[in-house]
Amino acid sequence: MNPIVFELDQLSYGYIDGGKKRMILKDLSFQFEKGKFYTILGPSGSGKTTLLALASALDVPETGRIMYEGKDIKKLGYTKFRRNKMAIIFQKYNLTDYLTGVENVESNMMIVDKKWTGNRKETAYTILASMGIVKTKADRLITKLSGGEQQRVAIARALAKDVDLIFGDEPTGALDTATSHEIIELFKRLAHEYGKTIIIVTHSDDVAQNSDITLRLHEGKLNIDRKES
Amino acid sequence: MRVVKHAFLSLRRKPTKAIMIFIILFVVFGLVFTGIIIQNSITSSKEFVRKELGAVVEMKPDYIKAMTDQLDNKDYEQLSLSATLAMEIAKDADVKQVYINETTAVSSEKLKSAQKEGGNVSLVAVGSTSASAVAFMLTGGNTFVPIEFDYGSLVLSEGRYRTAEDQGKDTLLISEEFASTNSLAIGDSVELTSSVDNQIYTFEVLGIYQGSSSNGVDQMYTSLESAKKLAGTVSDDQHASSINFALKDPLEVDSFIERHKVEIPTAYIYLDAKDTEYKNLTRPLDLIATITTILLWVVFVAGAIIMLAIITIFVRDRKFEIGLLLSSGESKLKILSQFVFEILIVSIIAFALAAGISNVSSGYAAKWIVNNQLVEEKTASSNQMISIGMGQEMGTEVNISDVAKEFNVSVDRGVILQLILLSFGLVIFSTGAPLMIILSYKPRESLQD
Repeated sequence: MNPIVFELDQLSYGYIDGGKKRMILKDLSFQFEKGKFYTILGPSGSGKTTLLALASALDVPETGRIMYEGKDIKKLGYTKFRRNKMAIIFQKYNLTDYLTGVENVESNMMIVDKKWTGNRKETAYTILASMGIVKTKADRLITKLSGGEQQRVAIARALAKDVDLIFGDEPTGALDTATSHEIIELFKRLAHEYGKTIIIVTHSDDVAQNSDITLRLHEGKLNIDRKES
Repeated sequence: MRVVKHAFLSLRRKPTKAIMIFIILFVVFGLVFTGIIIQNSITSSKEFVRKELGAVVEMKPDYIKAMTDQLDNKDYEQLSLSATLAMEIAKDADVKQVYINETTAVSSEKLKSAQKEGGNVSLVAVGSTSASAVAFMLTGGNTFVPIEFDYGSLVLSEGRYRTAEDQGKDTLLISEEFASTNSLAIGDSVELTSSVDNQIYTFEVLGIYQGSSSNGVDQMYTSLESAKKLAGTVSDDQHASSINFALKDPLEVDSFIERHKVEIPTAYIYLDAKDTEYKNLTRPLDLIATITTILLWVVFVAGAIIMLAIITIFVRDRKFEIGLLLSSGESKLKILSQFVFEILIVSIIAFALAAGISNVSSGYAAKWIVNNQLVEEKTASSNQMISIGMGQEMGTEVNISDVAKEFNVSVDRGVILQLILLSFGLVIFSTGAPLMIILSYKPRESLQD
């Protein structure tokens, strides 16, 4: 078993629906190992996106703790945690529309506190190239790229931060099957060769089948659905 | 680094809203700057009028009030000017010099009047021992240079003023006409008879002046001590013929009067700053200033509200971008800085262009004001005279034509500083609240919108 890098501890979260409080997550706890590729499945409205938002510190749980390398991220600072410890890939290719592909990737590299050795822009081009975005396309405004290309840039943007924890909210949803497989393979490589922990929320059984551990969110709890032996 | 780079890229690649902000700021700045520059010019013109009217405040007896109140003869004492009080008031730091004058009638059997026919009629010596004696006015002042020379139209053309070395001597300043009529030169002696005790005093001609005082060319000037000697008021420090305070700054006249009017023990003495003349001359300017102020505030407030609305849209429009940056761990302050920087760049460009254009446009506006307001008012005002002492007038004249000539658009360092502060204030006021919204944004909510 790999060391625990990320932990959800007794998380609860709910919202008011029709005047009544509806709990989406109920005392949810789970430990994520370093260097593993996780997928989280669940029907629509089960709270997958909320769980991802809490895990990536985009929102704050009502009760419970989120631990990164044994430290509560609240104490670490939510902003610092988002800046230096994790990256997130959204379902919609969340990119800045007045920047080019390479500038979008560079943007994330500029935000992290880490000092980059070498040419930051060249590194961004290299990451984009590994995602199949050549320099001529990388220099185009993001709005001039296709949906699939934009999603590749979004993934490159997340990878460019060079962090240990990568979250994804349906990151392959907008990609064709071939590209989707390439990305899944990349996630596997990042987990197994580079020791990154990948946590992906998905509807796709195909993506789930390719992950190391598949979790299912059911009635506010996270259960292991499948574990690669 | 990211903040600056992205601010420039955002402005260059998504310029629509920046252009809208620029246009609003440019128009608002332009109108406000024009207003400020015109107001500044009006202030300068008013200062010019105030300075031209002089920084002289006169302590005057109010004869009209005395007559209206039908004062008894014994109560006319209340109209006496107190030199002691004047010296007390003169301790005010704003007072440059106090001029205490004693004017008395003197006569001489040897001297002839220099008054031309049709001019001031020469005085006949009342109470003189000789019927052939001619009377003259002798004014003695506490200063070496009489006020008429400091603030009036008289100019010393020959000789010199009194100095400390002349203390105790009876000296005279006479007019060129008087000197010529009586063949007098510097250093000559002149005998004058007191109208009080008919005693003859010998005076030395120290200086000859050019110009005519309100008493005509026979007017002679001497020291206060000499005048009091001839007026028979040597032992009386409580009375003077005229008292004038020359202030260091003409613009302090009103506050000076306000401070000291309470010290005057009688209602029949007042401090006069030629306010009527000043108000007559500055009325059209005040009207323009009032209209400009109203317009300025309307434009300022309307501009600020429009800016506030645009910046709110500007921020809301980029909520998703803010959410994206927040999700990447960017601090809210840095995001705020980027927006502030963008607005600052637009504001600086708008400021520079508006300042340049307003400088020109305010020139046209000023010309219009001069042609349509001041010059048209010209007929309504007559030349204003400043009176010094009882029955005496000093020849300084200020009229609307002078004011119109002086009305120039001026942009000095003070105005530029005022414009910068005002622009900065407008930008802070209109952008502060909408930009602060950024601090309340949560990453998840921003991304969901």
